[in-house]
Amino acid sequence: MRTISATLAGSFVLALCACGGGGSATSPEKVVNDTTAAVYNDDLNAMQSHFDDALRKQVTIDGVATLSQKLHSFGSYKGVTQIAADPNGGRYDYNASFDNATMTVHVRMDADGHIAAYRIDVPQSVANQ
Amino acid sequence: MNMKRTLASIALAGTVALTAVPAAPALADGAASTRNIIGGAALIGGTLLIINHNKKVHQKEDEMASAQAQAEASANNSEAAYQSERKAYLAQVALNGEYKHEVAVQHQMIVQMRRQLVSAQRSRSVGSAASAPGQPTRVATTSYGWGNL
Repeated sequence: MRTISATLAGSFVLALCACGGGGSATSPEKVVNDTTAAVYNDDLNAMQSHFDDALRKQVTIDGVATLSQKLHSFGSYKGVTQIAADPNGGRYDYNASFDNATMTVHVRMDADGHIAAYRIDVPQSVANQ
Repeated sequence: MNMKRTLASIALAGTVALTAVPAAPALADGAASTRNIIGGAALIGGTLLIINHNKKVHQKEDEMASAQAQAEASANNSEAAYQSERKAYLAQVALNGEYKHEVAVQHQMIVQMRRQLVSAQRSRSVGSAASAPGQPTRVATTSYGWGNL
């Protein structure tokens, strides 16, 4: 009886680990969502916390502030939805929803789960302003 | 014509004179016989002259009639030719009118098709701007962010 209980408990723990690990490995949606929200809120530190070391060096305060201002012209930020995924290449695409528009976010993830590249397509009508 | 009448009168007078003169007795003398022969020859000669003249007159009249008939025929032909030409001209005028009408109709069709084309282009541009249901709207974008994908 003890053996059976231990076996079941071990299997349950393994299943939980597999589910949690698999989710984070195939869909970095939460990371991208948090990063996009940080850009929208002009929160440099929160944004950089998800970037890898190389990408962190490219970020400037003015760059984040400019992009944040452009995103605010579309209303409130709603969240992201995955539209494409290439786990082997670490490439993921998401639709970032705002009150008045939906924009595509492209990210490249490194092996550690950090963002190695982050780009968002802003409509030119706003981008040129 | 007067000449003809004159000769006819002379011939008639000669005939009447001969008829009126009582026949000479058979026992006439030589002078009378000679006179009779000369008178008969003159009568025959006058008659032949009249006949010949009449023949020439008739021939002349025939020629004139023929010429007149030919002239009339020619005139008739000219009239007929004129009528034919006029008929052809009127037909051509009518045909030109039909061509004009056809061109007008075709022009009207072209104008109508141009309007339809403009209307279709407008509706297409409006449709693309409004985005048909089920089809994503393509909007020109500029990429912002950091790093290379």
